[in-house]
Amino acid sequence: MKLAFSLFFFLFSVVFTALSLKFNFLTDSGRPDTGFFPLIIGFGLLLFTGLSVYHDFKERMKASEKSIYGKEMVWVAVFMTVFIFLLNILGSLISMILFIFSILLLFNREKMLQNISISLVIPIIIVVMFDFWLNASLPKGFLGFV
Amino acid sequence: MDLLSNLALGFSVAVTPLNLLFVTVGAFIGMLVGVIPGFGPSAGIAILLPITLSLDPTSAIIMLAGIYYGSMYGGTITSILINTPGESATVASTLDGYPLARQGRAGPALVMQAIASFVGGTVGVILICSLAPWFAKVAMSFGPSEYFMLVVLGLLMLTVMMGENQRYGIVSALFGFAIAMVGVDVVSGQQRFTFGSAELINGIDFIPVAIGLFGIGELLSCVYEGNHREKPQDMMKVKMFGKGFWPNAVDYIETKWTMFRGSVLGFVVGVLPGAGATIASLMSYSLEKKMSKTPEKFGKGAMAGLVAPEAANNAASSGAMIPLLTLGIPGSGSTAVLLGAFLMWGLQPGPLLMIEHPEFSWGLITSMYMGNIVLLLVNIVAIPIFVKALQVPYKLLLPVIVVLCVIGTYSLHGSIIETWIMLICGVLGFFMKLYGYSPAATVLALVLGPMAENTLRQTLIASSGSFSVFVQRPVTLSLLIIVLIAIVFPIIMRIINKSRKNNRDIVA
Repeated sequence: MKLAFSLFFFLFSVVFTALSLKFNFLTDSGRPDTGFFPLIIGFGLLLFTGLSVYHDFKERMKASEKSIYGKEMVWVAVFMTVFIFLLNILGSLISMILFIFSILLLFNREKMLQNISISLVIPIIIVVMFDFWLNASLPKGFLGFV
Repeated sequence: MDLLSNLALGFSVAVTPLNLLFVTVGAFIGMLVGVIPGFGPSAGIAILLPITLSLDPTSAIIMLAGIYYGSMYGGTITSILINTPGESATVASTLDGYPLARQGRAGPALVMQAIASFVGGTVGVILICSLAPWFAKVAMSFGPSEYFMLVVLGLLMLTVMMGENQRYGIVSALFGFAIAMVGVDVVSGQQRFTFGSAELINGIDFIPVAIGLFGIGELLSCVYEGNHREKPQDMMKVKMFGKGFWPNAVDYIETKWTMFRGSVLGFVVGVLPGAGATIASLMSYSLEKKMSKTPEKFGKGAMAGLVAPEAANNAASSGAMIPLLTLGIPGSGSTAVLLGAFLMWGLQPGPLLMIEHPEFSWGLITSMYMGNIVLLLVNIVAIPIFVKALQVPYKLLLPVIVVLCVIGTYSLHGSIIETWIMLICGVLGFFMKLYGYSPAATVLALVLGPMAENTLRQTLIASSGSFSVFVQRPVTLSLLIIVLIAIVFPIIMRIINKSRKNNRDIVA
């Protein structure tokens, strides 16, 4: 996985540098133009991410980074993705309640009453804090309320 | 006299009931942030930044600064009671803090760390008061070439401190610069890397990136390490306010100079870009051990071994405010987030900040005096509350932190794209942490990217494209020499170590 992550950065560097080449490096009068700094960064990225890929490829057998909680971490990331996806559909309050309850159901199954209370109380506090006290904009769902 | 009038101005700003309330709230939250393992000050400030948006800028920064230095106090409680540093700057405090607790001296250890933190923080603030105006005056003569070199030096030092992972640190910093390039080029007005998206024209805001990298990234790391499955740890018992809770006379006498040595060393290290509170506390511990008449006691419960790093990490967090306030150049992830907060309120830190916004600058500095007093009291009186907080299982905190990150990010500009950016950065932050990259360098480079580009371009325009300007100006030349030493020295050391190892192998 470490090698894959280095490769990701290397690919990012290739795309970034290729896009930077579209911009002028210098103006007609020889002054640094729009592409000047991005190109320097791009070439720097190519050099160092390339070195990282080479180094990680050489040491790919050494790495052993397995965690027994990797799957649970993926579940948390998936729930977060669904949570953000639902914000503009169900509104922030219902999305928060569902998200908190789902996470607690995953990790705290034995205490349902506690899970239900936390899932209801925390979102209400957050809506009151952001929507009423801070007057911040919260996503509204199809029902038209936060 | 100037200093006194500036301090008077600062106190008139900071000592209002509302600002005192914000200092107290910030200090309290900072302590909680410090107490939760795996949740550092950078994450705490980034996540709570959106909540301060509706406040007056001075009050908001005072509260965020309270979180910043408050976390240094809180991190030690876990170091002493459960042998787990609340954050990296308190790693050295576990070395003698936990053995002291095992000897039944948890109470004196907690009180002494609070006093040492107070002394460190207060000495740091006194030194800021004396040195910040001088720094600002010197920085007034700086041109774009000096600023560019300072940015390079700051980022380079941060990556040099990463030891074997320097290459990943450089990649992290360059990645931050790359993200900073998104948006409109201020000189030509041309759009860069926006892919036609109207939301990207103003560039990628640093707050979603910081919340993602520090908040979500650290949270995913904690889940990956299984913190959510851990039961509340067995902790050392503390007899609250009873017999044996307070330190004895020997504790005070033995450590009276340790506190001041640690404070001064910590402050100096804190001022250096990239070094920060963690390096300061480790250096202070090792200095104290070398100077001690009984070095064999270190690691077995020496009070000086706890006091030295505590004074140093708090003084370092004050020291780090000097380059931030006077040059506008942060030296760490936390101060980068603070700089972002300054910019969000239209305050441009730098030599002119103290002249153009004296009430803000001095209000912030004097609030740190107040903050340290509040923290000393909170630290001793509210220990039972933090001990209770330690017992809240991580699995219950986890969804609350996520919700705060997501809703906080959305509430900034009402943008769902920024919320997705936050999540992507969170996943990236997790892998960066896992594989030894530096999320702090990415955030620092993102915040400093526009400054680096503009100052380099201005320098080259002024010199008609000649790079010789970097060796012609004395300050730039000195900074260039330091940069070169920072690059070459580790390489030479690596070669020397390698040849020594080879020689040893041959002899063996």
